[in-house]
Amino acid sequence: MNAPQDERLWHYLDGLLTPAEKAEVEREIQRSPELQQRLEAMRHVTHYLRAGKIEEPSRDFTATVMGNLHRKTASGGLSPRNGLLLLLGIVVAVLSISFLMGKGSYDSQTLVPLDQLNAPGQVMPDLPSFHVNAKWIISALMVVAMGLAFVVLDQTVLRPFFNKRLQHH
Amino acid sequence: MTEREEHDLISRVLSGDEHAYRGLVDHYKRYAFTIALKILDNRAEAEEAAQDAFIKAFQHLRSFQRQSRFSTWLYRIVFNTAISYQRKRKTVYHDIEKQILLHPQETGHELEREDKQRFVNQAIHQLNDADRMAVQLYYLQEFSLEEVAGMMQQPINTIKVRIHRARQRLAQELMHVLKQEALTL
Repeated sequence: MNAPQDERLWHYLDGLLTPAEKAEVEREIQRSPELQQRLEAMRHVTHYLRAGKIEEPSRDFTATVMGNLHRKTASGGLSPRNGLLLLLGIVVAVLSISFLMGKGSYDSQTLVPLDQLNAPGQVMPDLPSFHVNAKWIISALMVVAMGLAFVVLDQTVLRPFFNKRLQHH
Repeated sequence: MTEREEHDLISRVLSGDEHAYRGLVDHYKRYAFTIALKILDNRAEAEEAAQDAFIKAFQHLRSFQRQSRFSTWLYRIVFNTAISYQRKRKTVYHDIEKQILLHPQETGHELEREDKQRFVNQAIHQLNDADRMAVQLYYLQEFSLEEVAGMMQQPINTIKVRIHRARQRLAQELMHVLKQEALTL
């Protein structure tokens, strides 16, 4: 399909052309069987889209809404499946790190020698060097991960479960 | 319902008269349900999503800025609620009929008007979600380009592109069918 020509045909169907442009498009359509076929397809699409009707909900729609005005609505959080996958990922990560910590993988201290930074041609201020204990950082990250795991567990498993039970009673 | 009547109802609801909300629900439920249905393509889910949207709108009515129309604000909530329902579907299933576009040479029958209608209906489900929603909302009598953009929270130019692309794609599909039909004559 020819994009600029098609755009003019859409505008023709939408009634957006000036009388002069409209007359010109109509002349072109008369001359070209291919354009006629294209216009027929476009006209049918427009007709179909315009024919979309406004649907009627069930009779007790309003009553259901009015009876639940103070109900807690579903939040836009994770789906149960994605929530469980995320939870599983966090648990696996925490267990792996715990295993590595138990093996002593993070026991060493790393020296960060900021005082030995050497940038040619630049005057550097005196910076201290210090030791970083990887174990502390990993421990802090694990606490954050476990906190996140509890939030995910609450949002995707516990709350939906208890809300369902409340609705059934 | 005039804008003034609508604002009166909102004021009554905000001052504690919950029953006044019934008027707003009754007035907008058909459009709200239709929007949800266009997105979810399932009546039961669409009804639940539209009801949820009305409940959310009631609970957040104080945050409604009266500079815009209530309908635009409400439909945006309906749109977002339906989208979140769509994301939460446990299993994504597609009706096999919607996946396969039956072309005339495969059916062996000449395409009549109803067949074309059904074909476009199938083709529209092959569009990407955002394009499909933009074009369907735009052609739902009441909505202007600005309203569709407001509902979908996207710039007007993006919506224009989506609508153009969607109907162009539908026309291309239909052209293909018409050509096949001409060859079989």
